[in-house]
Parts: sequence; C-alpha cells; structure tokens
Amino acid sequence: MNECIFCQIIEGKIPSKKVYEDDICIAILDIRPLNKGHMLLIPKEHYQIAPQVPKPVMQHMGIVCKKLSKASLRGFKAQGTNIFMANGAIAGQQMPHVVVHIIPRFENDKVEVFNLSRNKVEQSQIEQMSTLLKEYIEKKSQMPEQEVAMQQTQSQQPEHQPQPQEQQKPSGGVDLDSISNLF
Amino acid sequence: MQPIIQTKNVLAILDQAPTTKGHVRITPIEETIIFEQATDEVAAELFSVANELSSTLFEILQAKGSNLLIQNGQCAGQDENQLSLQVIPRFEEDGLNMVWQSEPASEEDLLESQKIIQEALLAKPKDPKEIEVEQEEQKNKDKWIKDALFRLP
Repeated sequence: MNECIFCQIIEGKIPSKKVYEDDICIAILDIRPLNKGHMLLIPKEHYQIAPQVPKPVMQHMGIVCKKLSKASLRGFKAQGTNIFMANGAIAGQQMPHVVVHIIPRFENDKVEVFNLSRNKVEQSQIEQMSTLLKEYIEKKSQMPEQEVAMQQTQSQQPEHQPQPQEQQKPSGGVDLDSISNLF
Repeated sequence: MQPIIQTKNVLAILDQAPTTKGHVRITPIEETIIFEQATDEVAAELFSVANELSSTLFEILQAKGSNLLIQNGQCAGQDENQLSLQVIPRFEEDGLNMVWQSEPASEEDLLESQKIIQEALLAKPKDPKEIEVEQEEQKNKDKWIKDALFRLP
C-alpha cells in the first residue's frame, strides 16, 4: 500500500496541488491535464477497484463530484464537465487506486475521448437484454438470508472484502448464455 | 421500456444505441438537465447505483471492466435533455479507447488552476439580505438619475 502513489499523495509524502479535502476523500489537480482544471477525486482509503468501494463512500464521492464540477463551471467559466471513471485495465485504469476524473470542458477544446460511438441495435434485442438484467438484479436482491445476515454484521468485517457469495457464478432462472450471445 | 432498477430518486435503463453490450444510463427521476441541478441526495444515489450496477454487469456479462461517464453539457457530449450517468461495460477488443495522451502542465498553470478552484469552492450564493441592500442601492441610484433629470431645463 505504501507504494501506491495516490496513498503517498494522501499522506503528503508526494507533493500535489490539493483543491479539496475532507475525512473521506481528497481532490488534486492532474499534473497532465486533459483540459485546464482537470481534477482527480480520490478516496483516502486504498481501494484498488470500484466494486470494493463501500456504498456510503461512493455516495459521498458523488456529492463531492458535483461540488467540484460546479466550481469548475464557475471558476473557469467552463461550458460543461466530464465526470469519468475507468474500472479495470481494459477500461483505461492506470493506477491501483480508485479515482474519479472531473474535466472542465470548453467549446472547441478538441477533447474527443468522451465522444461515444453508438451502435444501432434491434429494439427487440434491447428489450430482451433489459428483461434479463432486470430478472438477474431482482433475483440477486432476494438472495439467501445468509447474505442479508452478513450485511448486518458488516461492521465487524472489513467492508471492502469481496464476499464469497458475490464470486459465485450466478445460477438459476437467468440464462447467461443467451445474454452473452446477444448482439 | 421498463427500468432495470428504480430507487427513490434514480432509475436505470438500457441505452437505445449502446456503445457496448449492456450500456446503461442512470438518470434522475425528476427532470434534471445538468449535474449541478441535482440535489445531493440524487448525486449520491447516481453514484452508488452506478457502482452497484457496474459490479452486476461484470458478473452477468462477464465484462472485464467498465467506464462510468457523465457528459455534463452539450460541449461535453451530452445528447439528451436529461442528466445521466452512463455505465459502459468493457470487453476485450471492443474497439473503444478511453485513454488519452496529455502534456504535463507548468507549475504556474497548476497554481493558477488551484487558486481558481479553491476560490470557486468558497464562493457562496448571495445572501438574500445582501441582495435587498443591492436593490435598495440601485433604487437610490435611479432616484439620483430622476432627480438629475428633473433639474434639466
């Protein structure tokens, strides 16, 4: 953990341009900004990936993101912002510590990385996917009582440990193959 | 279309023209055009629902990662009149590239930006009393102009 650059920044061992700090997170300026005022919002606790971040921390980061976005609209007279997070190396995550980017945007700023390519897909396929996801989520929310019990005793456990239940492949009711074959 | 998830303040639906398989938009139930209009409660819920949903998409679609994105404002790519936090599941060879190259900023530029953000964070909306005083001053100013006009020949 000591080798994590963000942890060292949080501890003040590596200098940074801090713009915001509270008990849960800090925001610093990206030293290689995509645009002027590009900020990084980092939880103080070392979470390698987003699924490890507890719900209250994620909620708090949402509120702080909004605050910082507003400040960049006001301070830089930005015309918009991108809030961006990459989970996993494949998605562009470069540091083993969760970070949210807040990037002020300006007319004609030539930033193109957040322009999404969109694909035409049959409405029926979207509806099929939607139903499958909905069913899966409903099933998950009605998981065995053990998990509910686990959540109740969560205060005694390290919250960010992935729970064994979550690592099991989902089964029953939802046809995973049919989802993978969609599109 | 039925939402995949609905909570007190937000709902999640599949994107109609998905960037990747399972592309979901989480959006406030109340009309909210830009992020800054959202209440703290809504902002908090957008993030927690997005993170939970992202984990669910890892499991169910065997996604290898995900991107969370808010396009806040037209120049940030916003294409609907409603704020949304998008969850884009990522797969090997999905053809997307959300990595950028950027140059290091100078120390002066960073210090300037730091000052601007810190000041903007401190700036508070005007106190109603303050506004009243200003309006009164404005009236007095107008009065002076009127008085001056009356003195015209």
